[in-house]
Amino acid sequence: MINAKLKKSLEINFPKQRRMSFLIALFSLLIYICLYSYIDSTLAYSWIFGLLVGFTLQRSRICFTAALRDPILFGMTELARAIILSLFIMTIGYFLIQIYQLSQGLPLPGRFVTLGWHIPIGALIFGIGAALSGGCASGTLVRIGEGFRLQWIALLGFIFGSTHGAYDGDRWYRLFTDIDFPHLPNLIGWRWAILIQLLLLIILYVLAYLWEKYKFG
Amino acid sequence: MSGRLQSLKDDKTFYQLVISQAIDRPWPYWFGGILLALFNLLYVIITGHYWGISNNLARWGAWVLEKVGVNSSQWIVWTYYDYYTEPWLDKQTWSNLGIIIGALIAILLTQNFKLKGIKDKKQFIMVLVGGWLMGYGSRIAIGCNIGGLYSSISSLALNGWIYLPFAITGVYFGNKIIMKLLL
Repeated sequence: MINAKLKKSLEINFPKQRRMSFLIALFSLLIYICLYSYIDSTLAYSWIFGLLVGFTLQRSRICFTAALRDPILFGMTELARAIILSLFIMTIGYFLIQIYQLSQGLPLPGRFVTLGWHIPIGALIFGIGAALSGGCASGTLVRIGEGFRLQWIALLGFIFGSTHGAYDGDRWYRLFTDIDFPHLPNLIGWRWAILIQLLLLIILYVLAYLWEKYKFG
Repeated sequence: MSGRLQSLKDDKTFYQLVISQAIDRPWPYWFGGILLALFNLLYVIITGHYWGISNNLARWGAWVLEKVGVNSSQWIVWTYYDYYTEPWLDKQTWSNLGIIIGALIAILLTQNFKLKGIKDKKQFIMVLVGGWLMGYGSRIAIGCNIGGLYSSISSLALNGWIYLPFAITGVYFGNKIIMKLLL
């Protein structure tokens, strides 16, 4: 009798898929411990970071392609504004981290790509592809986790295209200019860099908000 | 106490209340955006690396080619940036896998997981070509929407700001193409 009741309560509170989710989470923790103890702590942190990001992206339905598309196509900017907010926090955080690293004589973290025509051309091709496949790089991975078989095809295409691009890379990278360290503080000084970037993000946020108001009255 | 809260309290245990409020409902975009920023900053502080996705996919492709006899580890491209390495020793392999499994955990938690198939040949080809273009474009620009855009702009890099308008333009044209194809 009590056993049946307990079983029923378990069934309601921990349905099958939720049990699976706990099981996979536990297994993921095990992978973390293995990576950390036997291979490399950076890999272990990357694994946990990926799990958290995937969980967040799925729960909040954030898709970068939609953030780039919806404002222009539909006039919806809520998602785009959330990304701008995220970038705002990231900018302040990165700024502080970079200043600290420099003051300690440590390497400067960040994603710096030599400027040149390869960036606009590549970004354009990437954008077209993202629209066609219905999701960006992160969106494709999230959808695979959600069970979309179609996104396996997108990922396969992504790997083919990336390899193809790597093979052709040398030809494209001849478009490189001399500016190989386009860190804004390096170009215009720390104070102006942080001021201009934060101001730009605020302006974009306000513009997006007004644009949505204008579109929907 | 309002009627709605009262009724919530009546027929649910505390555990069920937490689940229904925090898990069953999707999170607002802004909340996801803030969490994303915090996780990224923690990742930078702890490991010193930025978040990227697509470099790794090129390395996977090159690794497979290497295994079938192509001399892909010697491609000049690897001298320009980053590194060539075995896929399981590549941090991005683990963060990419983590994203897939993290999304899986999330959707199982809300009991919405379902395998979804492919509609037709047209969709199959469109997505394959789209993925291919994404891969090729991100290799040329040295970054996808994450490494080339999100992580770049975050780290005060001018290349991210150059990337942004052209990515938007690309997405816009891509959608024009889709509408042509579907109508």
